[in-house]
Amino acid sequence: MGYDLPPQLEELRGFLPELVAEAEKKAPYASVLVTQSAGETVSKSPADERTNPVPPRPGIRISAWDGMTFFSASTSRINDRDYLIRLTRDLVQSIVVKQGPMPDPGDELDRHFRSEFKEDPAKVTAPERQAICRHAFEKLAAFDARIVAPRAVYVYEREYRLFGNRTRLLSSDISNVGLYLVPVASDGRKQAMNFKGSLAPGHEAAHITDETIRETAELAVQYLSADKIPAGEYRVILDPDIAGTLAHESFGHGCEVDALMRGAARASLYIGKRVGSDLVNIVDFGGLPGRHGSIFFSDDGVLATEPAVLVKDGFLQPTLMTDLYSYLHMRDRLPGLRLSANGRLETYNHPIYARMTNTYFLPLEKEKGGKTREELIADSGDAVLIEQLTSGMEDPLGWGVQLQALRGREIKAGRLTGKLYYQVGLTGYVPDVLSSIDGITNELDVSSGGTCGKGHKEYARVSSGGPYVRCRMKLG
Amino acid sequence: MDFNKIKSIVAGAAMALPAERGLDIAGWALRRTETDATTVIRLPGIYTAKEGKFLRQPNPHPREVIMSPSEEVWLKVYGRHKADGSEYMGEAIDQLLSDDEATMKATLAALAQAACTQPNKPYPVSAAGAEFPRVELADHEIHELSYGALLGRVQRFSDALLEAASGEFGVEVSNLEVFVRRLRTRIETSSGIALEYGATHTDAEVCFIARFGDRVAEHTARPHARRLRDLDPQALVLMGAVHARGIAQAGPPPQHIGPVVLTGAAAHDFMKLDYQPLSWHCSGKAVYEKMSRYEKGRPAYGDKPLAGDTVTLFSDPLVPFGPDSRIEGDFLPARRISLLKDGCYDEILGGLRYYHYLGLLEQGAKPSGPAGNTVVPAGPHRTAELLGPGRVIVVRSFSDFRTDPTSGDFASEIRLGEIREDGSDKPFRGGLLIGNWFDALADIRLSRETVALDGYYGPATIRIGNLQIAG
Repeated sequence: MGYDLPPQLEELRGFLPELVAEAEKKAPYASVLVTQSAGETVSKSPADERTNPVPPRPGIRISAWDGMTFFSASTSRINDRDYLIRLTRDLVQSIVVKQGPMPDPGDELDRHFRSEFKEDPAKVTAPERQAICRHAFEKLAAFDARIVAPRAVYVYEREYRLFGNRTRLLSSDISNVGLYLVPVASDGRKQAMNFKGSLAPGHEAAHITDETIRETAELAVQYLSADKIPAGEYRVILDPDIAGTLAHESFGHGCEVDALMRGAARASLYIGKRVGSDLVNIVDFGGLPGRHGSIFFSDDGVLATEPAVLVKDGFLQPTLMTDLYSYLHMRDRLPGLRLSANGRLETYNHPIYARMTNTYFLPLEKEKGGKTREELIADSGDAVLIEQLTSGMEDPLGWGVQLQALRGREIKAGRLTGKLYYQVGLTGYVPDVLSSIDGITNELDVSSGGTCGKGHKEYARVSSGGPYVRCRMKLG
Repeated sequence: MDFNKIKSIVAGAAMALPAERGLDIAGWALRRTETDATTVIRLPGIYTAKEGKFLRQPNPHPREVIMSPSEEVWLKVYGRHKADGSEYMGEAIDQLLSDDEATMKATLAALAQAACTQPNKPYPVSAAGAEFPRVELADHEIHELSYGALLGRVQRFSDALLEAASGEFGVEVSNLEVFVRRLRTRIETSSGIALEYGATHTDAEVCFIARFGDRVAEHTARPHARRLRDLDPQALVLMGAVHARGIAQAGPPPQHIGPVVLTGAAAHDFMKLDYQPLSWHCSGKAVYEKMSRYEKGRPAYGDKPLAGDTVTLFSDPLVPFGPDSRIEGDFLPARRISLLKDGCYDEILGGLRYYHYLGLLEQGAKPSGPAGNTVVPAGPHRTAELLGPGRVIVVRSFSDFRTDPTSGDFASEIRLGEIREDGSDKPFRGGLLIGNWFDALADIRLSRETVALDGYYGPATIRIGNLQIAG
């Protein structure tokens, strides 16, 4: 049966059960994961244009459970079946089975999944991608002489995954396309950079209008005369990406069960308790179609069919994010815990941890008080609208949160004044911030994309978003 | 894969491509890296919550043990082409998945095709007669060990660390990850470079949790070293425990405008090339594209009056066993360069391409390749002098220190700081440290005492004259 996978993965798919069976001659549970990439990147800056394939970096990871510990072997040599059998035998030869929780391999299932897109990015040629980057580059450069270094990047990534255990044989073909515009403006004294990304599973992401390119360049120029925001506590309206990142950094990382089980998340003391205002509803859902953090199944073989509900109506839920290891050790210790599709790894030779996928605040329906963006601004008196995330950092035990945004827009008496602040740092104590949420819009926007580390490593692609969220935070 | 076979096929195919496909190859380079990695992850305790308190149950079993033998071969191709009467150049790189001749030829042709569509100004592709430095990169103690013996060595290290932590009052190690990689790299290029060398990396992530009654805090140490023996379990625990206790006992941040002292990890974050804007402004690409503030011999702090020490800062990849040391980078010999000399811009980080574009090669300069360790010579001040007199705000660590690469502005959350006054230290956490990296250079004082920390070799303590803390 053909799955339109790269040939070596197509061949390897049917071999996974043999490897699992070999490992399970000694181990009570084993699974195999295979990863490989494909695609192309084109970038254009003043002195440099590049067109490069996304390297395949194939790898296989065989994991065996002894009742308490996962023992894994991983290698890039996915083509050599004899070697893989030997590696599996070496892996399990010294395993001594212990009394401990046993994984449920799940119902029998043999399925292949594929991203849905409007325009197949594999059919787009390198010259077409180059033309898009050159056009965006030239439009950015032509906007104003102060745009000294425009940059346009087209990224097309294909991510293939195979998973097998004794009952499951899964494969996926996930496509992500991004077109990124990065104009740098200078007045000879000061420099400022703007950023605009458009993401989708297919080539449709690349259809950015000239008007959008112009606005992106114009903001970079405006930043040159923008002020730094005076430090202090403000009423803020966070754009969907920043709001989602607040969710991600507060009760995203704080609800990864492997953080709870090592005592590094204060959330474990608050399950079932209030952690935010009634308006706070946070979920993580890898199955949300076509987002940058979307997956079809986790790296330990759990189908991404339902969201992990983290906070509901302001109360922390027990349905947190698990990888298989943390679930096995915590299921009897945390009533209500479920095995979720959050076990993910950076590359085949890294550990699997509980990781986020698409994390977002749920919007508030209009009937329940959800507003439009304009209504929320009009209702806010004096505030600052915070836009364009650059980074975030978590502190699940101390419940601190740090966000960085490119700009803030002043709101006075419910109206945008046109005054712009460039580069705004946001911080706060998570319960105070979430308790202060008193306004939410009624539309869901999960269109951002980036990578998330566990601390400062183990990067995985994620998305965040939701509605616009109004709260109080310290800015500087 | 058979590297000699790959080299032979690539060399032959590269010669034939101009005639076969009309593609003009300006050069190629092959890199093979064989990696043997061992990872051990331990969760010494499993925590649950009961009646608002954490309960810990000992867990003697590792979370995961990973062995990872792998091999990657990469091919880089430089291509030339003409259009509208001008000569252009490009380059492309990909991973070779087999040593099958047809597959390799197809990959080579695809890379040449990609390289020959890039409208970049021509540049040289190799440093003729390059001599590569001898740099100690490998831990000879572990390089030749069998997998089982290496695993045993890693296990002993982690046992020693947990043993050391068991004596710390109020502090537990909640997670311990040890990553050991042994690498052997072989390089061959069309210009005749043939190089083979070994290297090791030993990295750890140690999470310390401190508890004092209802106060609880975590601190994560992430040491990197070339040699496992450079990760000292006792020293790691001592520093980690002090830090975790400080965070657990910390109060709210002060509002402050004035001098701030950065010490230890905070000094590392502020100075290290990875986090501050200098590597961007001193990069050949940024200078050539006129995005940079770089101007050789001009003060990096602009026209502000100098009120403190002048900073000299090196990118040095030649430090023996340095975490960021290297023999080569992008097929160029590694070289130590000064980015700042007495507070002024000096040399440029870059490869052959931008050194050529900027006319530096023609002036006899040798390209630097990528950045190495950050080396800052010691300053004239004793640490005690920087910490007094009067009320002083000290920052020991950040949550995630970052500067904007273009402006140098930063607003970073303080993970642990202290207010020193009248002989007492009052720890605090939170609040944003706000300032500008370049402006800070105009009023900075460096300690005489130095520290070697994760690729930073420089003053252990620095005092910056005018920063803001927004509490």
